[in-house]
Amino acid sequence: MRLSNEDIRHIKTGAIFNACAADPEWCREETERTLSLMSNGGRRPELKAVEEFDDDALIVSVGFVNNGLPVSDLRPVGDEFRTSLRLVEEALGRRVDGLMPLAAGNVNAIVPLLTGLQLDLPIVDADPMGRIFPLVDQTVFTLAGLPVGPAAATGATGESVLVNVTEPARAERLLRALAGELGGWAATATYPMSAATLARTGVLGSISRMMHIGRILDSSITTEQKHDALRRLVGVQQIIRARVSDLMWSAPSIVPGQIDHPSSVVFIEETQGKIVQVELQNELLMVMVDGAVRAVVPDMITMIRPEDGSVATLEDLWCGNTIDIVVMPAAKQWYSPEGIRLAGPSAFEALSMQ
Amino acid sequence: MRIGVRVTETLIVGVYVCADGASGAQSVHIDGFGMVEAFDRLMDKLLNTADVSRRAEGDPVAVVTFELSDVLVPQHEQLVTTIRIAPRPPIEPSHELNIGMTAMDRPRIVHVRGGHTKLGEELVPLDVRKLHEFAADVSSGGRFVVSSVGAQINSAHELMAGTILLEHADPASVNYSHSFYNSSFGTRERTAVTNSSLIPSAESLATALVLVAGRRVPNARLFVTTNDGGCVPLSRLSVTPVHSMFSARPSTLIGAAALGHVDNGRIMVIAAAGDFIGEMLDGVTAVRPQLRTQDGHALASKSANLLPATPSLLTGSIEPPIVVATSGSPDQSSLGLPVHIRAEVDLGALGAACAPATDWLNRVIIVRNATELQQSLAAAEARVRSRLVSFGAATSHVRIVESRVIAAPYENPSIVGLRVRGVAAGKSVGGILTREQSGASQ
Amino acid sequence: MKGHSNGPVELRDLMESRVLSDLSLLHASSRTNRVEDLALITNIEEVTALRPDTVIVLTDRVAKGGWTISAVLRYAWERRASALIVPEQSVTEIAVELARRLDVSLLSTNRDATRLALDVALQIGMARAGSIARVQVFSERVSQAHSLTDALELVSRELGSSRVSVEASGAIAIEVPAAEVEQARRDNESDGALVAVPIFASKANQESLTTQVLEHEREFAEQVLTAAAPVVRALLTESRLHSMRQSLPQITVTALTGLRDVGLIDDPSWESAIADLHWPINGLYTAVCILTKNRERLGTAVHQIWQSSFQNVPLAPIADGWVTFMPIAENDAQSHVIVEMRKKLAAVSGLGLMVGVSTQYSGAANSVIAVREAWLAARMAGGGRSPACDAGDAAANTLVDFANVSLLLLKRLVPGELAERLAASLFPRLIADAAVDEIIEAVVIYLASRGSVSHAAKILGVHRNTMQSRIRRAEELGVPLNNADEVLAVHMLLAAIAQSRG
Repeated sequence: MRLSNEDIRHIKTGAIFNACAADPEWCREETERTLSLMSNGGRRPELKAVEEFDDDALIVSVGFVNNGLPVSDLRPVGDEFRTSLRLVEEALGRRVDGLMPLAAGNVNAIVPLLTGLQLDLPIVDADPMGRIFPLVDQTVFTLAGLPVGPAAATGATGESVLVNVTEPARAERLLRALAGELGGWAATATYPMSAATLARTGVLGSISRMMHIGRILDSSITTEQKHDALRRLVGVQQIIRARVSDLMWSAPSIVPGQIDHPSSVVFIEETQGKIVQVELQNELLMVMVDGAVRAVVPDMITMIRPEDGSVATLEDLWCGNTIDIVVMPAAKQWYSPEGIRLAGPSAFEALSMQ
Repeated sequence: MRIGVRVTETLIVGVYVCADGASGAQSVHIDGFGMVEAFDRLMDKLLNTADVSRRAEGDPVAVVTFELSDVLVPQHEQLVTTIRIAPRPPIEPSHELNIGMTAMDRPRIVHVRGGHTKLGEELVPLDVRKLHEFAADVSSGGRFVVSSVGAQINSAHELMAGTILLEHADPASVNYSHSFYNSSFGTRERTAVTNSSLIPSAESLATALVLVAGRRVPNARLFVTTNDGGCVPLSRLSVTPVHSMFSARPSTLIGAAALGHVDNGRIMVIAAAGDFIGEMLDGVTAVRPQLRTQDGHALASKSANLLPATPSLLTGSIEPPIVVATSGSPDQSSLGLPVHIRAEVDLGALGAACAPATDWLNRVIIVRNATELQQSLAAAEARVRSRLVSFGAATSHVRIVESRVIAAPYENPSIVGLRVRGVAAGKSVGGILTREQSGASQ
Repeated sequence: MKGHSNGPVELRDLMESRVLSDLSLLHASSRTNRVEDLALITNIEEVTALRPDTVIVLTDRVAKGGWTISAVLRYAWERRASALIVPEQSVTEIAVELARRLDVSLLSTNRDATRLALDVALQIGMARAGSIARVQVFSERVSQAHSLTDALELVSRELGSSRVSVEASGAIAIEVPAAEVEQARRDNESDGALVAVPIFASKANQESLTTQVLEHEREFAEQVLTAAAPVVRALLTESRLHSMRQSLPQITVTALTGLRDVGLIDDPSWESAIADLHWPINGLYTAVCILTKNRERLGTAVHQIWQSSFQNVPLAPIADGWVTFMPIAENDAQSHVIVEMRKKLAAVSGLGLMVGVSTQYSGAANSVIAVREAWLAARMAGGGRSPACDAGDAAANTLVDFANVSLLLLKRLVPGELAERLAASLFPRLIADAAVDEIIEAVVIYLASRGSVSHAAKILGVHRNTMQSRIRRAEELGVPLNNADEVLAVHMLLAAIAQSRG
């Protein structure tokens, strides 16, 4: 299907929802860029289900990998993803047939829409994570034993690198380092695979699901109705309404390279005064109620505003504000033992005690 | 004695607050003679008020604080030119950063190569040649905003560009994005552009007010209110007027806090323009790091966290706020809470009189260990203290209200943000007025 | 350090100790917190294995993530920990708030966690030692008790004048009742607890030291009873041993006499063995033998009855009963003792006991004879068993005095009815004679006196001539008195008749 402006906006809302409280600014800007390009060029991005591709069609995932200045600071000039895709095409000796997002959330959910529009490529309704995870190798493809590379990274400076790597953890380190050296982020093309492999291993329907969520949240029905819709259609398991009572930023550990800055938010639950604690490390990682763990990564934890059911962000976390904390299950692959090892609590500094 | 003066298009209101907590007000309409003349008349009236003249010897006017948000007007005659320093220019218009201003305000953009990484290392050398070419070409008297990638950590390129402009382009003003603290490049630039457009108005206001005040109260120090409910010396207005652009409601909140004797707690203000709720913490307003304009764009200016009064803010076990009504507003709040105090004086002007001198230090730094971190924080606090003293405050009145280290997500852990807030006040906001003066109904 | 009367260590005991006085108490749980154990948590996983009543100490590392304190508080609540101690710098308002909500005691310290854990463990040990010390002091005191009653009274006092007793399956052997005030209090409280501690290790002996206290005093009571048990055991054993020792001569004698099979008596070697015995009785004594077919079943009852009347005279067990030596005071006639005994035994005639009393003797050498007599007499007792005896004789025949054995013997050997028939057959003229009773009486006494008319006359209380004429009359009536072979049979027969006729 060809996506309309409305569709794009809904995907943006769903992407911010899935992003579990990351800064929505980049997502907004990427959406604006997409919409602007749509109105300038008169074309519309095309979203297709994976079955609509030939089995051997080449699908590549595109997305920003961050290490330093965010995309909103060091701005992409608009050709970075094209450069990366060309490098991958050269390495594989064939053209790319379809694009998928690197993650089902935040700016990376919109990147394939814009890039697909620029390069006139369709976008596959599937993704490697089903949600957002911080590391490139935290994908269902890693669980399925598929390689990350050949991958390519291009920076705002225009410099680009082809990375021949198979081991996912190594790919993550290399791409992350490149992102840092390239100024703060790299526009990457990763996980090249056939549509058949993607159909077998990927998380399917991610983009349409985000669109669906966005449609619900952007609508003017009541918050209660939005809650119900989310429960029915997206499998939301818990919605906890609570008032922010305290925010804590723990001091970072001054050891370069080690990500160690958990943040905590304490809420007081509205009806019974229960103490709700949410741990964040970029994403919302864990919800505890009166000390008992109610949800923990890989569960998806996000927030919406109670007054109108719009997506809440970190900006909404100030003392006295009331938030609806929403918990959803992640794609089922993440609950296997390997999935928990790769992306469960022990994979996050904030929650592990190593 | 302190005097707060709120200037609007049509009216100037003055409120005096004596050292012993007594207070009163005067006002003057602005007629065809203009604002300056009206201000002069206001000062005359104030100084001749019984309370004030009686105290002329023992409690002379020491401070006059202006609330000017209503008359700070962005100037559109001359467009701002933005020098955008980045490794590469965007390949197409849709990738151009649109800081969201209206067509009227949209600056002209000049792309120059340059920029730094978050660690402060040069990504690409500054294209000095292009800058020189441009500066030579451009007409004089222009207003410029310089924004560079990574300037928060390392502002070298912005400063270099600014220097070239100052030396060769004969500008009216050069504003740097890095003087505004925000994690978003676009927001910093937007703030700098907005600031730039306010400068002409700010300059003329400041000059006029200084002249009158110099005649009437030559020994008084002059301040202007800021978006965070504090105030800074009037001389700052022509440098960073954007920080005073939205100080009306924050000043009103301070006035309400003074009347309600609130140093800690929430206050609800019933005002004609709409009820809102704010919070005082330890004698200062609770702030948000950036404010949003009507059109939803962010500006990098600390502003008092004011929220429209909605039922959700009143539920739960939190104590209900003190409700202060401006004169002329309805008896009951829109949410049914009874009014505790009905103000008899203009809350905005009263707030200006009571606003504490405030200084902020926001900086992104790179530290290697905890010791360096502590040292940097201590140095930042010292900086804020000394600036407040330079505002004219007694050292003993200076207080660091907030001093913290913030680790931002997705960034290198050795890069941290410092945030220090200091105020200088002899008495806290809640303790300035005497109790009988408040007109409290309880 | 103050001990609280109930013994077990409580959190406030620890808090009051000097070593831990620098801990900050952030929230004090309203529940009383016993402290049994200490756990130093270096890894968050370890909290899942906590036992109740544990003081939990978190190391810096574990407390680093703010959420971990919340999670540990939750576990502490679920597992009923005594308290949680965390590093000062990791304390947040929310941790205190959660502690309040879950009502778990929360404390903070600026000391190193490991060192603190050692100090706390020491204090727990000392506190426990404090209550142990109290029990220890009591232990020493009770070991000085010189009698069982003394000991039980000490226990009772230690337990606030509670009732204390030595019991076996509900039957109370010794008891010190509760003080009145105490009893009233205990009666009012609904949560009384019966605490019992076994006195002997063996399962066979069910005797226990018991008391009744209030529920929350249970543990302390157990500790006190357990401390007193060895002393009670010793005293009980001592007194029983004393009894045993007292009856040692009897035992030895009975063993020596081998009374299982009567008759093995006059072995000279026994004489010397007996001479070596420390004979406990100075003066006269009589031996008493109690026999029963149901020694196991009736043992306790017999002891109780015996103890109630003759508590200073121990019973020594033998194969089918007991034997004892009863000292006879100068003034007491033998008969007085026997009357006394008969009276007591009348009450339990239904038990089927057979009691025999010997004639009076003195000195160790005669002990064997005395026991034999008593045993024989007892064998003769047991009325109601032999169908030939009347039921009316039952009570009288529970106890047999050896002096009367021959009479009984006669009755056993020649039951009354049989004697009549035999006499009617053998001496018809005698039986038919009008003065038959007089004559029989005279003959029996004459024969008992071994043919001495004058002696017999004296016994009967008649003139010698009267006796002579009666004897001649008997002979005339056909009773042979001069034939040595027949004399014994005649004697027995006529004696049987005389006895049965009254």
